[in-house]
Amino acid sequence: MTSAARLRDAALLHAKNICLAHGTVAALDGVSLDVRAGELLTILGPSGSGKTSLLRVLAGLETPQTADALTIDGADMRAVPAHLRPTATVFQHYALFPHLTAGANVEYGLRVRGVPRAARRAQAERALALLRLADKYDRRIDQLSGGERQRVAFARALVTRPLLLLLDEPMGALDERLRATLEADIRALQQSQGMTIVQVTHSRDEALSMSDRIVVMHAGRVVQTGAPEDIFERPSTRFVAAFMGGGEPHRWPHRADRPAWRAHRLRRADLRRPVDRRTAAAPWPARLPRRARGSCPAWRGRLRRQSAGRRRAHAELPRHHAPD
Amino acid sequence: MRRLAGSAAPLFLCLWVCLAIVPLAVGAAVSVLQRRGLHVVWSLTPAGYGELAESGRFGVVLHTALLAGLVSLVCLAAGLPLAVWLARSAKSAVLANIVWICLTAPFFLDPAARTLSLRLMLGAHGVVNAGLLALHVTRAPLDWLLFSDFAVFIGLVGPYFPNMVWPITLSVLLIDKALLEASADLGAGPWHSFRFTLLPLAMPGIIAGLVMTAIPALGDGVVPALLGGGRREYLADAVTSLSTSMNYTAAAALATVVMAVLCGLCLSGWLAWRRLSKS
Amino acid sequence: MDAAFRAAARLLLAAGFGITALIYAPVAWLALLSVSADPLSGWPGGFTTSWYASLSASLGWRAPMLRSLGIAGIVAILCVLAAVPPARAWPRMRRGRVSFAALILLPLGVPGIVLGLLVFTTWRVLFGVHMGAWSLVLSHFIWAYPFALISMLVVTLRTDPSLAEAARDLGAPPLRVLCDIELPALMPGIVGAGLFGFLLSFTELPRSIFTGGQVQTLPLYSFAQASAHSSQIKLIFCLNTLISLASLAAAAVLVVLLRRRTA
Repeated sequence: MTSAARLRDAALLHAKNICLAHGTVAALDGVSLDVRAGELLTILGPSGSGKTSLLRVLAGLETPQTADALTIDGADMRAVPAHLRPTATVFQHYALFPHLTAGANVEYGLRVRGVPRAARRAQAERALALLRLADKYDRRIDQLSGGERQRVAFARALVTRPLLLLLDEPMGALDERLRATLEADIRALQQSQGMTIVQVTHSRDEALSMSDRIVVMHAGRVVQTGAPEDIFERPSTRFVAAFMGGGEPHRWPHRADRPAWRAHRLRRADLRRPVDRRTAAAPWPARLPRRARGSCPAWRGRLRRQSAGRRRAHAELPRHHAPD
Repeated sequence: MRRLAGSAAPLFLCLWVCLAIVPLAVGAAVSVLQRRGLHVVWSLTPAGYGELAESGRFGVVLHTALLAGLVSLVCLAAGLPLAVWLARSAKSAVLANIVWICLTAPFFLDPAARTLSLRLMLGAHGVVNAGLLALHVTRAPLDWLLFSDFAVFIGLVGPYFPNMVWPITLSVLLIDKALLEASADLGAGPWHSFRFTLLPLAMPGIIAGLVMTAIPALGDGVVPALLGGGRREYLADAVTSLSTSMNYTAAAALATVVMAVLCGLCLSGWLAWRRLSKS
Repeated sequence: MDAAFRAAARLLLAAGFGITALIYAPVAWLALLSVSADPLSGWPGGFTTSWYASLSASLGWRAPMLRSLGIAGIVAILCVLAAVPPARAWPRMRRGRVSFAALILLPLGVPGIVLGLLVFTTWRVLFGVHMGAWSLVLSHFIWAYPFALISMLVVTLRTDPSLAEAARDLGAPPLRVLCDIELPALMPGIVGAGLFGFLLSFTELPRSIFTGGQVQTLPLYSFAQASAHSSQIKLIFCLNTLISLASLAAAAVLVVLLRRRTA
């Protein structure tokens, strides 16, 4: 048995060669992904890299043009609509229902499943208590602070006991202090409840400090997968190196400071390169391993049919139009 | 310039109140005055309301209100899916644009001409009866197609349908798409998403649509005059006949009754809405 | 449950399209009849343009038509002038938005014929002022202004207020900001408000019945002819076919303008 096959057997989620296009703009270009039961996997990448699209495909909110496989816990999910999938999402801006109280928001998933009123109230209160919101049950959403809304969204997703919890930039709108608390909360929840979590972020520090594994995405493709240390210390492409090395050197939570010298050297070298017009929007070179290309037939044909001029116009706007 | 705008705004608001809002209250005042010919005498009397009761006009108000209510409910049932489709899932921009245009133009069509044409279509020898006969749905022409409540209903549903669709479309457009996605993500199928998310969030538009459909339908004069056949009196007929007989105090009393009924409906609707949104 | 709901929703959506068609069936029939030999029979046939010829020869409709055009034009201008300042101020308004909107929208909550009666009662019965063109303009303005204001608000709420601030920051005097930045941005709303004012006034009937006095507008004229079974009805068919076509074109302009802003 090869190691890849063993991984697939242990995988809670298995996705193979997923292609998603919005019009003629490719959002996901042959993405494959495996998530093991009980792990916290982070999808890391810059804006427009397709990471949110991938999360939405997993939740069933977008239908990919092609998908060779998409299973959760062994069941084929390709034809299953969002409301029948065993996933729950914490949305980037939380998407809490403004016409319901915090408690009613948490109860929503139980209410649509026909759980009796008393039982769902008890479960919602337990979930809110778990996130230190026991006294906020009757609050309206606009009476809650950003951090509280965040945690209500968490409780709402948790209470349906999903097999897979999906987090879309869970800390995007929070300040530094709240982030630290929430990181600890997520970790604690994951370990105590044995949750499997896939989270999306563009923040290198978040990814490095929380994850069991990291998947780095760029331009609709997966460019590297591995443990945080591996990704940081042995970046496989120039892009990953630049992205992981950008900004201040990362502080490992458990180790002494260590300058990320290699990443820094690469970055200085990048600065001296002439600006490439096609990738001017991104401060890193967009070179990708050659074999990652060309696995998606879905929109190629459509692109080919367009005139050369228009094709170039699309190439000059590389995927920044794809919703992230 | 800002100072100019600052003083113009209260001035305009005062004018608006004097010219548009005050007359609404004047009806209630005139309704309890005594009349003498075209003029009123400044002494109080409930005679206007007495005349209304004698001539059975309260029943007219009730009947017209029921018909207008039915028209609004039918418009709501058919207009809600159309509004949601327009706001959310219209795949073809061309088709959506055509529907938008079709729903805008009726505001500007001449009511008399349109209703007259409908009368010719619904008559005993009209195209509708001819079609039904040709399809062997009936053996003799249906006589209740014209000059009946049914005819008035048909005449009112079409013109006031856009009044229902527009506000609902606007309110559905304002609903954040992520909320409906969150609903599906939490396990709500189409029905539950509609019932627990879309419907409550579109409620302001639905209420606006009900108001904007029921109220003009209640006061429409052209349709009853041309399609009602005169066998039964509708609200507009009552208003016109009272004012052509120069009985302005009774006419004002009728107007006051209508406004009181509408205020009552609005108030009870508002209270129901508050209770619903709390529970 | 969901399957039944989907089926019901689809059925009702079809009913919605059906009712939309129901709006236009009489209009299309009207157009057909207007080119038929005997329009009053209710059946098209023996197609002829002779009614259009006699329409152009007839004089009865011209005075009401011109009067309606004039009144509609005045109402349109009043609507634009009165809708622009509040709509511009709206995004900056901190208090009083709800009560302002309620005051403006209140007359929409009163049936047209009742509002016409009340305007008449106030001025004619209470104060003894005779009805005329002025009262037509007034009652039409009360009817059209809320719509005009809403169409302006649709635009101002979607226009970025920082555009004007940026222009001011770059040193443009207030008048220049208004002419160069705000008016072009507001233009779809202005056209929309004007169109609403014009067309709602041009086709207004229930209020006009009371506030018209001796002055006859085109809808009053059509209604009088239609109720009296007059021989002029054939010409009314022709006239209204033309007006309907013009209204459809105007509606198309309105929709394109407002949708370009809101899309």
